[in-house]
Amino acid sequence: MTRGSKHLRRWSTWSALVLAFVVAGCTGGTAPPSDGGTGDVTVQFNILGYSPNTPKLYQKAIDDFEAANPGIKVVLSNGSWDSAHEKILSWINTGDSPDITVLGPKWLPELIDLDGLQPFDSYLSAGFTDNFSPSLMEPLTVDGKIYSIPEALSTRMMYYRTDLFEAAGITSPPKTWAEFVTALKAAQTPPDVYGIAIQGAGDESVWNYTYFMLGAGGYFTNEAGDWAINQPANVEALQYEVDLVSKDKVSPPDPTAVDQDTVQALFTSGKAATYFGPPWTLPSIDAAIKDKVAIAPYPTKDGSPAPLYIQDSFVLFKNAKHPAEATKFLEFWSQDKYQVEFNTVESLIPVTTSAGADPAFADNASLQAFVAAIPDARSYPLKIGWETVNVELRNAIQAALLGQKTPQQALDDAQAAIDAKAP
Amino acid sequence: MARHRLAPYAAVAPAAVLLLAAFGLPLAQVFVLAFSRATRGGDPVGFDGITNFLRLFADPLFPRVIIQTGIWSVGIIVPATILSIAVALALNERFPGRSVARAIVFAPWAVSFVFVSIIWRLILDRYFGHFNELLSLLVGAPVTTAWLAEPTTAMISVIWVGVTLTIPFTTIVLLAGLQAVPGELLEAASLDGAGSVARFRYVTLPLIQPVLAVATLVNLLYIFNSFPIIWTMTGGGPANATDTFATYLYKIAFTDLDFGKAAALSVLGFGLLILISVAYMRRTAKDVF
Repeated sequence: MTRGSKHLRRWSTWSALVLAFVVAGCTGGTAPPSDGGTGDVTVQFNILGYSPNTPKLYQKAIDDFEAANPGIKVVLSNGSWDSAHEKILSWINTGDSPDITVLGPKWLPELIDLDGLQPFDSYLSAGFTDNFSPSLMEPLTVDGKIYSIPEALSTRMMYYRTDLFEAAGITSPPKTWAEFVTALKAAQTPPDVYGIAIQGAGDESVWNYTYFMLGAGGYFTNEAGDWAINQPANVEALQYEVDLVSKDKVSPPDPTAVDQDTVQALFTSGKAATYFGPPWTLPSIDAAIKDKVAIAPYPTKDGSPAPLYIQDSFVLFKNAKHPAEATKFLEFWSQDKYQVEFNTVESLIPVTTSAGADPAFADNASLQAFVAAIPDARSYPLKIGWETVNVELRNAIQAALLGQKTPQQALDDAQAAIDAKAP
Repeated sequence: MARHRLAPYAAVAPAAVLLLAAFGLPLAQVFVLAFSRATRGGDPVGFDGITNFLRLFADPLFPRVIIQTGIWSVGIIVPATILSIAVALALNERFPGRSVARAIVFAPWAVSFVFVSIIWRLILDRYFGHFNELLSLLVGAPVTTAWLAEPTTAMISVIWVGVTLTIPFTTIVLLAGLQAVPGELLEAASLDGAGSVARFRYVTLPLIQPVLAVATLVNLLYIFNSFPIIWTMTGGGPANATDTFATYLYKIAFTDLDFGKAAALSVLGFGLLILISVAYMRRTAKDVF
């Protein structure tokens, strides 16, 4: 797609302004400050924090970088994942963006299509990307150009309460869906303790459903690469998820009230026997119940693991004012010194091969359970229109969990809406 | 003489130019966008007739959103107006601590709507919210209502927060109106044997009618387009149950990147509000406007 002229660019700015007015003061723009005219170069670097520690970890590297590179200043901004998609779009629409931001690669095709990004290739040092596994780089490389650099990596696994499982006489973690239901029924004593807490609130509804979707052999797209939300395996997966709540009654009856924080709290306080989640909850769970928790692949229909991996990455905006200096900091940040601390504190899987070999991770058995899932794991699709699919799918999942629609009907409606909205 | 005739225009010119630049121009652009094909970046690329409107009408969510916007608007305005009249009447009386009471009533208005909505979301949380805790104490049995997670209670919850945030403004306006009601009239009515209800019905209410009309219209325009409360508390969920005009518009524009359809919806909302406003002004408050 070619970008419009300057005149048209102004169009979109005005239109965005009016929409903002109509929407009655929704988000305040945070235009990054410009250079102070001191002759120094100021890099605008935006991250999307995982915890209150994230900006501190980056700032530490920035302080070292600025000391080593006089004349380059790095201004860090920390955005929220909830509003990241809209914010990145508005940066591209107004042409007033930071140099680099973190994002989910699932938005990458769309942003490339909008002509909002530029590849890193001409700014990267030779051999820099050799320190990233090819499987991580592959989806970030479009038409042979490196549009994105890995930032963070995680997989999803099943945490389970060994105390509740042992008390119920369950000696090994369930592998198949059928074993899972049997185990949960044995381990739970509702309404005080449930087998699992299905997450149906907000974005979590889609994350949670994805475990069942992959577990049934389904996916967001079909073999031709088109959106195929209502394929039979997906319907079966949603039926299984709904049944866990309403038929098997191994989950609290109001899943649309359960988000990530809730489910973590229910699990650590012993009110849920299992929980499907990411590695970054390990530290808080270990701190609370270290000797009562174990990790295994989440159960699937036939018992063969079907893990999900999620990668976050950096992109370079087309309107970056200092792409070379921004990339220089990105390379600085990718050194083991910062990568080891970042991934230790945030409890994530290192994206660089050299940091991954560090004893801090190699000897961390819990984290290695998450690392072991990577070879088989699939990610969210990298395809234009992901956010529409995400929202339609969320509404379909919630409608099914609330009993408003059958899983078939809900996913058929979602597919119809996605088709109608296809660009 | 000509100089004098031009003077008023010269006086309003700066404001008029500013208004045109800030509202007129973007408004015109939204109208153009509504009748154009738009790129996913929001640029118009050619006239497209009423296609955007047809696509909007074909969206199964559209009629639902209009109905829900009606429920949301009326659900807030009616109780908020009744409560505001009562509060304004009370605050118009002299009593010790009146200025403190006024400050308390107006305070919520001074706090960011997003902030208030976040607090309410926490209060109404199914698992960790204090509202269920309080109800449990009152009822003497555990209350586990998922206020924001069930369609009906979610709508009631956002409306409730809307009411609490609408009362301060409405009360301020009505209080100003009440203070303009001459004491002699009320005294005369008393001497004629009118009780407090009759005094309100036949003296106070007609006199504050113009102020009430303005407050209601301003509230309607504001609430119809209101975004932060619903977006913060439910995001329009669960399963679209609390999606109204503004959240729907936002999703079309920034989730689907369908700026033509979003502009068409803006134009429809704009037209609808103008129609409602004119009809309301004609019927209820001819003398006011």
